[in-house]
Amino acid sequence: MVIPMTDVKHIHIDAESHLELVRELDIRSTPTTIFIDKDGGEVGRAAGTPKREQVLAALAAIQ
Amino acid sequence: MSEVLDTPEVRKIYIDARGPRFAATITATVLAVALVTQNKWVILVQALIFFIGAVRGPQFTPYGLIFKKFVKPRLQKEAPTEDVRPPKFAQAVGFIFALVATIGAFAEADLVFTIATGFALAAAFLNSAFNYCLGCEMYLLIIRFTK
Repeated sequence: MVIPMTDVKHIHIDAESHLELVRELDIRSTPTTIFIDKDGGEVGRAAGTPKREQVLAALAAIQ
Repeated sequence: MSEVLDTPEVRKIYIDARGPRFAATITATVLAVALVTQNKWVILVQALIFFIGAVRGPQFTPYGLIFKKFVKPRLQKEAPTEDVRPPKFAQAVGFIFALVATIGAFAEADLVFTIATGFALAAAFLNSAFNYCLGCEMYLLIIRFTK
């Protein structure tokens, strides 16, 4: 999913190569999307492939 | 802006996410036929198909190839992709159930055959009807606890 937003950064992390992070963040299945604000705080997450509207709503809630 | 913290090898094993669901529909049908007809050759064939999916990947099973050749070209939207490892693991789980069912069928242990085939059918149905892949959901949880 590519959304051209200059103020949003999308980082893709392979869960299996980062199991310590998986445990720390309690990731239960892949893909899991975590929305993080500018201060690094988690503001929401979506398990499974999120729909475009879900992503846009989550991002709108941050601003 | 998009950044990928994966190794190139990891990115190579992404498959069309619609394939496994299509395959699950055929799998559920085949398992239902096996259950209704009590035909041991049908469950044996399904066990072999699960085996291919577990060892090589779901995209290489006959169902995966049907998807690639006949279904995928007719789909308009951009293909959503997914990591192949959870569905591959799910195929291995399916194989174990189908193997137990096959052994049960050939050993004339009807109850073993019926229960094992029933579980596999339930899982395939969940995937087909609701896009909920039980084996895939188990995958990361198991890795978390075992690695």
